[in-house]
Amino acid sequence: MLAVETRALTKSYGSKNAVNELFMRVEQGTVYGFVGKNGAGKSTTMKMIAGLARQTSGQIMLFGEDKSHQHGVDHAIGALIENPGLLPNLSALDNLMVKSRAMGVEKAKERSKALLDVVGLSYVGSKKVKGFSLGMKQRLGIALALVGNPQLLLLDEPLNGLDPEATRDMRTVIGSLAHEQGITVIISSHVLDQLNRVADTFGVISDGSMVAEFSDAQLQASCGQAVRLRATDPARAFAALRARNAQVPIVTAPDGALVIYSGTNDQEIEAISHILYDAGIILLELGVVKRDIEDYFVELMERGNSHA
Amino acid sequence: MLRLLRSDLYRLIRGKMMWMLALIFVAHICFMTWVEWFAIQTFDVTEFGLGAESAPLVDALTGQLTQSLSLSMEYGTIAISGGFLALFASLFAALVAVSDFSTGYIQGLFSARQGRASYFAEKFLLFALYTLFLEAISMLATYVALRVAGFGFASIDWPVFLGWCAVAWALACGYAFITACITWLTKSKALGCVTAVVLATSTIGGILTGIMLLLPSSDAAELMEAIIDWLPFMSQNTLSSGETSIANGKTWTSMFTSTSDMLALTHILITTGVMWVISIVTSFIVGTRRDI
Repeated sequence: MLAVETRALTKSYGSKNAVNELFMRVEQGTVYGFVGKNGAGKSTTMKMIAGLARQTSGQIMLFGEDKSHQHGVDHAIGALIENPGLLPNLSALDNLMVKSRAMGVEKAKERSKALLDVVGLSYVGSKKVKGFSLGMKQRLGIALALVGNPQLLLLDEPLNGLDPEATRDMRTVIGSLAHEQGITVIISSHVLDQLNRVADTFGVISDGSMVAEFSDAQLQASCGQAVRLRATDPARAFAALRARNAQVPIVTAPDGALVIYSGTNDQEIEAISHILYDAGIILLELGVVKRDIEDYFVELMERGNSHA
Repeated sequence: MLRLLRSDLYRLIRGKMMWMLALIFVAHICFMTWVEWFAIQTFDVTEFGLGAESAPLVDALTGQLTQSLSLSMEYGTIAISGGFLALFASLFAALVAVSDFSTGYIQGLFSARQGRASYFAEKFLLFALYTLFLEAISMLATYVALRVAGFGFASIDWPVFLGWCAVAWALACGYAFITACITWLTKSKALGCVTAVVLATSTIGGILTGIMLLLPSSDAAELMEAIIDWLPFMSQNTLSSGETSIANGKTWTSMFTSTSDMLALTHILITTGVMWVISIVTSFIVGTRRDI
């Protein structure tokens, strides 16, 4: 079942479309990595899903129900968008108590303590939040978003500014929420290698439009091994290889090397070397490399830009 | 029912802001009481051109007056004149109204599908309650401080006194509501606080009065008079003279025209009502539709 589905979702500010006919599909109980450059439309999309901003046009379906034209829905959504919404002069426990009371949570104190446990902050529950590190604040932000037992959690850049240890803790918390408690999590981040470790599916947004959606398995396949070569005449080498198969992605690396995302078995390497030999191009280097995930995402985003 | 209000009370009671504002207000009351006591202690009849032989008579009159003070008039002079009650109520409203937006707390609340209309309704209720709290503790502080300073009070006509208190509370709420509305519209702490100060301390009224006095007698000056008459600070000035300002069917007296057919109470209630309606309606219409 889809937890979130948007259909041609659009948000305009004057003549500019911050989100432009966005189609997004998020399976229930998964972690959805939402990737895009600054200003690509990630936060605006999340705000519309959370009911904080109204769409200009398009549909938002939550758990199979059309929620496009109403502010209130039956499904509580936990959101950590832009900042964690903490009250700095209160303790961590009091922060949770305030929101629990506002939402009419029964046994607010017990529930708040349980949430502190979930995010690993029980040991500082009585401490004032203003003395917390960024990582602790982000974790408390997630605990706040979990008040009211949401089925959907929207986390906008929760990994920003975190040190490696805090990032790992955050990844663990997010993973357990989705895979142990069945909460659907949409998480946006610039820290792509970290996002890659926690997300099950990915959506790449560029200029307000969805460029690609794919599973983690598809990502791993796309970021598999590739053939890397340097030749005396890279332009001719590129043309010769392209003439052989127009579908295979070939990327020119900053050092002029060509990276070919086709098979990396002996037959493939032999075929490539034959093509270049027949074209009279001398190989300077030939080997197998692994495609970088970050490069792949950047490539997708740039592809989106060029189509815009 | 009233979950947001209870949550806000929980948060405010555990925080400092509510107590600090109340404490500063009470300190102001105590200081003003001390000024009054000091002025009487150092009163010298000769400075007013009276002979020294008048001193016993003046002392007797002063003694009589200081033992039969009107609590509402004293409170009006100390806390309402100058807009102090309105100022503290408005500052509270500005700080509370902006804090949910500046911390991002509101996003968590609204994404959890809390009704926006109930949010604003319960915030207005909170401001009204806090204004009542401020009025009650500052009234008590006025009474205690004057008693400690050796002053006495005339007997109180409770129905009239409580009616006057209610009108003063409603007017101060009006200031707080307008300030909250402007703060929500702008989401600016600085602008909210400036609005609180400018409105409550009659700055706008003072400026307009200055402009009006510069105008030659004309239709424009009359129009300006009418506008100034309906500004909230005029109601505040009227109320500062205590319960007599609304008692016994007293008619409205503006700064510019000596009499009016309208009752002072009616005039104040109309002004207050307009403040309430404008701020509440604007906040609901804009606040419930706007993107967060």
